[in-house]
Amino acid sequence: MDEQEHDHVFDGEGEGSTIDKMRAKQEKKNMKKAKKKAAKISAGGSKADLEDTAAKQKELQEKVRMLVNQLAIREAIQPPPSASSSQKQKDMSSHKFWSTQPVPKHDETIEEDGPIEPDTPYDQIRKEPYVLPKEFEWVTLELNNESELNELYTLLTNNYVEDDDAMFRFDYSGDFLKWALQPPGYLKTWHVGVRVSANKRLVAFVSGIPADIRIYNSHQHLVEINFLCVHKKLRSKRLAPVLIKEITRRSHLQGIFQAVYTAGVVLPKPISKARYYHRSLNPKKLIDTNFSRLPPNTTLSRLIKKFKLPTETSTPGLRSMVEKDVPEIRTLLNEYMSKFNFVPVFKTDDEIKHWILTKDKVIWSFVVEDPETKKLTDFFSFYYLPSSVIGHQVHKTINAVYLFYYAVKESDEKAIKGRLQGLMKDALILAKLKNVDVFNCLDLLENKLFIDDLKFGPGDGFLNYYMYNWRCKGMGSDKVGVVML
Amino acid sequence: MTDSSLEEQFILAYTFLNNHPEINLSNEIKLQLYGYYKVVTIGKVNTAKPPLWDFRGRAKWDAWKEVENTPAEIAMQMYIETVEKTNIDWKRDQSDDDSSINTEDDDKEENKTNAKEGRTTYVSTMSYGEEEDSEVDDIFSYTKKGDITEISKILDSGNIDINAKDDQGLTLLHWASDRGHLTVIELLIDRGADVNILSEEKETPLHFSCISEHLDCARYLYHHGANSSIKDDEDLTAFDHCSVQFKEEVIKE
Ligand SMILES: CC(C)(COP(=O)(O)OP(=O)(O)OC[C@H]1O[C@@H](n2cnc3c(N)ncnc32)[C@H](O)[C@@H]1OP(=O)(O)O)[C@@H](O)C(=O)NCCC(=O)NCCS
Repeated sequence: MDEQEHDHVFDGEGEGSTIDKMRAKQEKKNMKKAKKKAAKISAGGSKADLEDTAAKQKELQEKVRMLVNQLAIREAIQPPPSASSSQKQKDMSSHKFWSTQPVPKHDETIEEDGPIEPDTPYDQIRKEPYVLPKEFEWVTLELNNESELNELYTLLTNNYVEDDDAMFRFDYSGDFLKWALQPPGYLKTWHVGVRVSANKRLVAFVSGIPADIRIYNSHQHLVEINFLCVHKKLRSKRLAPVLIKEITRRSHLQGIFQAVYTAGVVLPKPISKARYYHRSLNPKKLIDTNFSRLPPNTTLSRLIKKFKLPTETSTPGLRSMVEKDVPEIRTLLNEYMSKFNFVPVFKTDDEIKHWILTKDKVIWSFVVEDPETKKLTDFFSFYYLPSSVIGHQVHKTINAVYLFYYAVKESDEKAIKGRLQGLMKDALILAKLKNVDVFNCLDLLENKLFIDDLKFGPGDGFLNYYMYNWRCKGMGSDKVGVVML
Repeated sequence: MTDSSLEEQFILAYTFLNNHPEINLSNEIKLQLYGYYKVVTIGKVNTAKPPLWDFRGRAKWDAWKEVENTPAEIAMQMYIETVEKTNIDWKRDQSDDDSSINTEDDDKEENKTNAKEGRTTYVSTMSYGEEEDSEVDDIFSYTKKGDITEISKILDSGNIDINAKDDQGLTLLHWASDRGHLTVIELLIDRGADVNILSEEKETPLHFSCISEHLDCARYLYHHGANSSIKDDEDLTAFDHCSVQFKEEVIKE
């Protein structure tokens, strides 16, 4: 048996788990015992004895098989209670990987904010990559190289889905991926891929980008993990833990010991849970593609009228953001973020230029300039991430945008609500003019102030927010400011 | 200890494990258990070595191969001891009343939940609560679904007012024009439905087809007597609700 392969495929998380080690030890003892017993039996036996044993063994096997079959039949008649939903939390003990990681447990009461384990001194950080099953090899992707960017694009578009009967999948563009993965200060070594050694095919990926965030009162320079993806054919083989450990190791090597990440699945332990909301701009197409449903007693005409928007925006002074707005937007955004508990901190104008300034077909940003003072009072942005519609004759793509960062200057709750509703309505109009079919957002920030009034409907998707190696109290999604792609 | 009690214990241990999928066993232990289980129920390895690519199948096969010469009794013994010793709540003299079990392999554990809400959604779509899927099978519901066979059956039965309105003040032709079922529209008009009948909001069937952008339906209505100058409550004609281009397509011979 191939020890290597076995170890690393099935035990991606093995290291550091004392329980596992103890079990392994017990297991070895058991094994020795078994061998001894086996030896005893075969040692003393005459030939007749041996034949007798063989016959007995056959008989025994038959009996057991029948019993097991009976039980299996009973099981088929009375199926066990249905499996849990993805939004339910599993016991920590059933998280073979996450139970070995510095993350809070689901039932833990959190007294004080702080790291779960201390920073690893440099000389104790593993210098060589984790071992992959031997058919695979690590690769660092060079996204400036068109063909490597394309490989990533292909991996994600074909595999960023759960299963084959998914109706939609994200259709990341090359420009989108470069925007998401190459912010100022990005590190190429954090664009981690896995290839099949034999044919060099890219089959898995995980990325990290540097980010500054504030969580409650703690400012941190950390890594944002995203785009974890394993080829559909290689799922459930414990490759994800190896990828996570590898990106963690590469972060440690840069002196970074905390991370932020989001996931649809519930892992130990979310800081917050946000829900997706969708605003139909093209109800007919959304219904045709099954993105949304037409209730049996509603006419399509009524629905279309309900979602109809003016063709012109109404906020005075609203215009596209241009490069000279960058410093002012940085101040405006950082100030607005101060009222939330988990927010990005934009330290340089370069970051704003990268993340916020309009890049066609990737991100669009609009600012409001006070006609008199010429000062910027508000801004909003949304990014473009279409989804391909799988197997539809007419419609190939749903054009979707997602609300990104925004800021308003008002400070009184009621004024904010009015202002936001006006701005977001304009955002819908602008998106509609760009032929967008659906405008999406999460219930973060102050989005709850306009979601209902602007006719957003709840989605079936949730997004859980996590921090790695950081313990702190949870918060409502309306205290979260970090928007991840 | 007699053989039969040993096999009973083996079954109990096996059943216990399968009844408690939440029990966290290391993969080594799972593989060992798998190996013993195979030896007890089958004996020596009787399948081909899985390909390199299938490393999971391969590891299982290897685990079985490794212990294939263990006599069944010993394998059972080992299985039982392993279960007892893994610090889980099972002792050989204690049985677990509910004895429903899973099938032999641990593949089942990866149990992909089939329920829609059990899935992780990557692309979130609109969600709906439990909806009053008012499955009354009347001619209106067949019209909404476009079920032409059922509709003709009911029409053929004779006792139906083709211009009758439902609780929303809409006729069959309104619904067919809204949903875009051209064949239903053809049938209804053929059977004498009023092509310019008004809804409570004074909309004609053509209004519905224009707002909902069903070009084929709008064309059919327009060319079968629909009056495009009728205005609804908002003082808009059917063509006021659609683009100029759509209107031209409708009018075109
Ligand atoms: C997410 C994905 C990489 C997981 O791979 P997999 O083959 O299903 O899972 P593996 O067997 O390799 O590993 C399972 C472990 O990874 C964990 N895991 C699964 N998805 C995870 C995620 N999104 N983030 C962090 N950990 C995750 C599981 O909880 C499990 O650990 P546990 O036993 O401690 O609970 C894979 O399903 C995928 O590519 N999905 C589509 C893309 C996607 O959804 N990416 C994540 C977006 S947030």
